Amino acid sequence: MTGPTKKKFLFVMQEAPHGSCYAQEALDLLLTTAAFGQEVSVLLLDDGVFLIKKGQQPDRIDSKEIAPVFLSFEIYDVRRVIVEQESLHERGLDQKDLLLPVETIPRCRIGALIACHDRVVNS
Amino acid sequence: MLHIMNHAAFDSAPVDRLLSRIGEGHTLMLIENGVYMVKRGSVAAERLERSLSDLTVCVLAPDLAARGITAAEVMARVTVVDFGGFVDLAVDNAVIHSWI
Repeated sequence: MTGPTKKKFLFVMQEAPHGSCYAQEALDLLLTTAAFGQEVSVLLLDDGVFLIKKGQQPDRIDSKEIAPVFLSFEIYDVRRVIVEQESLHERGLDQKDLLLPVETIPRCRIGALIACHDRVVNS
Repeated sequence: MLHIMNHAAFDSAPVDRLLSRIGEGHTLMLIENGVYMVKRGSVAAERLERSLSDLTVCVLAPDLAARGITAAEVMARVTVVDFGGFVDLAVDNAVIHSWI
């Protein structure tokens, strides 16, 4: 019998935190995937870039903390968090507004990035 | 009249469409993810800024705080209101429409 094969997973997150449960559910799946030893990367597009905006106080609207999950990625060996440059700029955001260091790539390279993974999960 | 928007749009077309539908002298209340639109430097904030002579833009303070948008990051000439202020707007405006 052969052991489990390791695949390259990409989680594409496009929804803002707090307005829906998309992000929470995607992160649950992401951490589970990583805990099973798979290679996991995260791509934040559109309103998904707001997930790692600094200074969130979700308790003000009785919502759950989401941002700290991104800070725990290292423990789960999730090494790559990639953010689309245009999504940041359209929202008036910069790298310095984000909770953690990320790779930024231009919109024209998103297709090639997605294509080099074995499995893509979107939310 | 009071217009309520609970989601954000950053492409110019949907923002312009919303603004075209709001009459002169009306109030636009941004709540939930709609508050992202007043983030200084965003495409949405630039469009809103051009319409401020025709309408009043209000934004809900707890929703800003939850999303990490500080007072300094809110575009100029926007009124930040708390839950009580939102209730006042709802009472003062006979006609209210929520855009979905």
